[in-house]
Formats: sequence, structure tokens, C-alpha cells
Amino acid sequence: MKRNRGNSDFLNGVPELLILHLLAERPRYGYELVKTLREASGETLDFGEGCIYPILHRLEAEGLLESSPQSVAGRRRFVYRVTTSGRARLDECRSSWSNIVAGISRVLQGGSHGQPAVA
Amino acid sequence: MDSRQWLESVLEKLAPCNLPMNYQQRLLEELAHHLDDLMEETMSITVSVEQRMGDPGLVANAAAEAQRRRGSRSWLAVLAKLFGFVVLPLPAVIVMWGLIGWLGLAVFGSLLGTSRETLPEWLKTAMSEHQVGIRIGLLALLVAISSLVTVAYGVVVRRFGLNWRWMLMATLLVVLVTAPLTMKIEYTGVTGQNSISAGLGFTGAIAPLLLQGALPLVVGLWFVVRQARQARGFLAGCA
Repeated sequence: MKRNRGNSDFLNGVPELLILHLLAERPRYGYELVKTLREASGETLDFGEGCIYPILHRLEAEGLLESSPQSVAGRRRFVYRVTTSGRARLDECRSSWSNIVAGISRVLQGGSHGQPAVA
Repeated sequence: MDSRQWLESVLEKLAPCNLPMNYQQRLLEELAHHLDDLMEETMSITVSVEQRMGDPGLVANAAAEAQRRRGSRSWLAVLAKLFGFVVLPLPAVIVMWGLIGWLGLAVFGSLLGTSRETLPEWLKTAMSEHQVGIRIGLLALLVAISSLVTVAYGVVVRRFGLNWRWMLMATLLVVLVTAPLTMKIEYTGVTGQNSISAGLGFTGAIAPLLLQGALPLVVGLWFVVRQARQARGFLAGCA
């Protein structure tokens, strides 16, 4: 039976969306990824940077990412890249995110009955 | 809390999660490098490690969760390792012997500018007078090839940070196929009636078994010990 990925699942998977999106641009190692994430979000995303690694490992275990150890600036780094399955998941996540944003916008703008839900 | 204390705290929180040592090692390696980068970049700023890296308990819990959700990929990875380290060593050694033997004969023939059927006189003399020496030399070459296969396994294990037990398994299998290696040279000097054959078999003599198995065993065990020490050393270094 196909698993139904609801919005609640998706909301929990926002870090995955961002990680997949940034790694789809080009392969990166953990610190580089976190730095890009902070810079790209204008320092608005506040999260424990250490938690990025378990997420990367889980995505790798799910076959969405693959990693290879490489020497970068004299240090061994695990550089992550998105797999074909990862790109497919990224498309799915982007689509869901667009739906959520559109849904929230409709609510904030008053929905179909023309009354604002937020004063 | 400085970066070392933060890593120690993560290690402490990981302990009850009972995660594989390789995974812990990799996680801590990545976290340690992340902290190094962070310290380099923010040397002039007073930065709270815990604030930037997150609560050690949360990181450990997330790591345990990531391991728990490995799912079907996990058994596929184990299957690949089983094939690579428990099945492949035997055919790999035999194929390498055959390949290098075939290449050797081709190079040998082209260097001498002659075929195997028409050996030069000096070689015919050498074959008649030093059969034992040539046999030992060829056996040594095959043992060296086995040892190179062991080195290749060692490099793979180190590069991918695999458990030392996989290396031990591959080493034992390479030794298993190398130790009973036998070689027979039948040289009569008559064209078409000479042969060199190699095979596996136990002749009853223990010394050749030990001698032939020793080099790949020592090489393999060196990688095993190195890998085990590295894993323990890294974790101990954080503790």
C-alpha cells in the first residue's frame, strides 16, 4: 500500500527539503551546507548545527543522498550529493511546499468567504 | 562548554544508544571537523558551542533515530559487504593470479621476441638446472599477488571506515586460498612436453602452508589492527 505523505509529514521534513535543495545545486560537506543554509536564509533559520549530520545520515540511508570521503583543505570530509531518488523526492517536496504556501496564503487573505482569518 | 566538552557530552549521550562503533566514529569525526571549522571562522567572536551545535542529547537522539530508520538499505549494505568480504576474496585472488600470469606470459614473450614454444637456449638451460628456484620464484610471485589483494581490501576498509572484522574475514579467506597453493614444473626440454601448473592442495607439509600464508596474513592483520586502533583511538580521544 502506498504511504500517504500528508502535510504534517512534510512540515516535519522542512530541513530535508532545504538540504536536498542545496545539495541539488552542488555537492557539499556538512559545514559548508550549514554555512550556505545560514547565509541563504539571511541568518533567520536558527538550528543546532550538530543535528544536520544525523539528518544527512538518514537521507543517505534512505538512498536520497550519497557521500564520499574527500580531502578538503587538508581534512577528510564526507561530501554529500543528491541521488536520482533524492531529486525525485525534492520535486515532490517542492510541490507539497508550494501547496502549503498557497493554502496558508489563502487563509491569511481571508479564504473564499472574503473574511480575514488573522486580524 | 568548549568544543571538546561538547563532543564528550555527545559521546556520553550516544553510549546508551548502542550504535555501531563505525557510525559513532563517523558522526564524531564529522562533528569534530565541523567544530574545527566553526572555531576557525569564529575565533574573534565569543560563541557558545552548545548554542551553535545544539544540545548534545538532541544530536545523540537524532543519530539514534537516523540509525533506526535505516530500513531496507541497511540489509542491502550488509549483503553487499557479505558479498565483497566473504564471497569475493576467493575468486578475486584466483582471477588476479590468472590475469597477472597471462599478462606476464604475454610480456615475457614480447620481450624475448619469441613464443613460449621456442624458448631461447639460456632459458632452456635455466629451466633444466634451476627448476626448484623457478618454482619458488613463481610461488613467491603468486603470494605477493595475494598480499596485494589483501592490501587492496585494507585500502577499501580504511577509505570507507568499515569495521575491522570485515578486513579480518577477507584476510583469512585470502590466506585460505594462498596457503595451500602448489606449483608443478615439468620441463623435459622437448617442445610440447613441458608444462607449468598451479593448483590448490595439501601435500602434508606444514612449512609451505605457513610460509605461503604468512605474508598475506601479516599484511591483513596489520590493516585489521590499524583499523581497530583507529576506531578505539578516535572514540577514546573524544572521551
